[in-house]
Amino acid sequence: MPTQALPLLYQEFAPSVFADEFASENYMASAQGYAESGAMAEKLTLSSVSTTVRPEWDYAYPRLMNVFKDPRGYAISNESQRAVVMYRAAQEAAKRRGDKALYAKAARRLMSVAAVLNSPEDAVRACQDICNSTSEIIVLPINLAGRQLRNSDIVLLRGISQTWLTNPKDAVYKILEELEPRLRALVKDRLSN
Amino acid sequence: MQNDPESNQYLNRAEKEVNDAAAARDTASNLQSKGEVEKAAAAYADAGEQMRLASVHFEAARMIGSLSKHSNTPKLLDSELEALEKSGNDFENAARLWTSRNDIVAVEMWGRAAHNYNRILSLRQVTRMPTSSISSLGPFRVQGIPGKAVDCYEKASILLHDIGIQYRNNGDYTEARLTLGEMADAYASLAFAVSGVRPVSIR
Repeated sequence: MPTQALPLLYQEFAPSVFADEFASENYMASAQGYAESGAMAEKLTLSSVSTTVRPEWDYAYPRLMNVFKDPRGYAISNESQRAVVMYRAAQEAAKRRGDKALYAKAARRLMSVAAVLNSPEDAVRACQDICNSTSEIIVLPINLAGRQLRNSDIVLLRGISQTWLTNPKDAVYKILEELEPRLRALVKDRLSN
Repeated sequence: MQNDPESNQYLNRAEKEVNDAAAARDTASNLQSKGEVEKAAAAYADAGEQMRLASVHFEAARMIGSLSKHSNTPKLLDSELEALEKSGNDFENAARLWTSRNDIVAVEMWGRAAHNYNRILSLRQVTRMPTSSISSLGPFRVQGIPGKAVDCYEKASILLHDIGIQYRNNGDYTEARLTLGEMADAYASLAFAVSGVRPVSIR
């Protein structure tokens, strides 16, 4: 590539990268606002539609509400669901500029909103996003303190946590290898009773 | 060039609003120099509203004119765009003066200004942020009318955040919830103003 082409390439490339960075940060801020507003509505136990639905800010971007539509075309009025939409938008913008950290951060926040919404599908998808984007320790939401663990399980968990430090992927496979037959057995047992 | 009588009626109204706005702007400037900040802010808000009304009259004249063959539609569109931009500037001046004196009114002013800038972009048929308006040197900055809309949304978001937190700290959770929701709308608008609207499916 000729040297004079580099600044031109930079000029063409840089604005969109900066715009995506700026947009993803603001999508995140928006998502956090919706999540907080949604959590407050839950705490206030606003059950009826008239109190749960909030009129949009009068001066919001004209086509903003087009984004908050469910697959059937109905407007999404639940603030926590709007937070999901905004976290996904933040993830898209982060993906475009290759920001894995922000992508994973949005996925982690999505996981907690999914818990509020009681939506396992969103939680699983967010978990997959975290695993795909960054190698880090994921704290599984299982409290082991009050559980009667078998000695073999304790040995297994110790082994996995050691493997995690050197090769997280292997550790995940080890967990799945161990859990899958047990889950199959559990389901079989439940179905037969 | 002869205009339609009905169109002339709207043009006269627009001219009156433009003159009233200029007088209100002078008053605002005098009041500000005397240190009467809140009165100055109210006068700038009046000027902004009068310019907005002028833009509505220009639009009406333009629509009627487009039906006649002697119309001067492009010139009327320019007048409408100019009125909207001046209205936006007046609302921005009012917002600056209200900030930290009455943040709720300030948010309203930033919102009205943003609304005017969005209207300009819509009349110019700008559907996506033009890359040329984004500065490639120094910190991220958007120039021109899109930049003005971005600035207004940014300032409104920050103020809505402060107001929401204040409500929350005072234990007024109902108002806090509504204000933080509006803040989220403002931040989302800010992001969309830069990146353009890309619908994201929720399932």
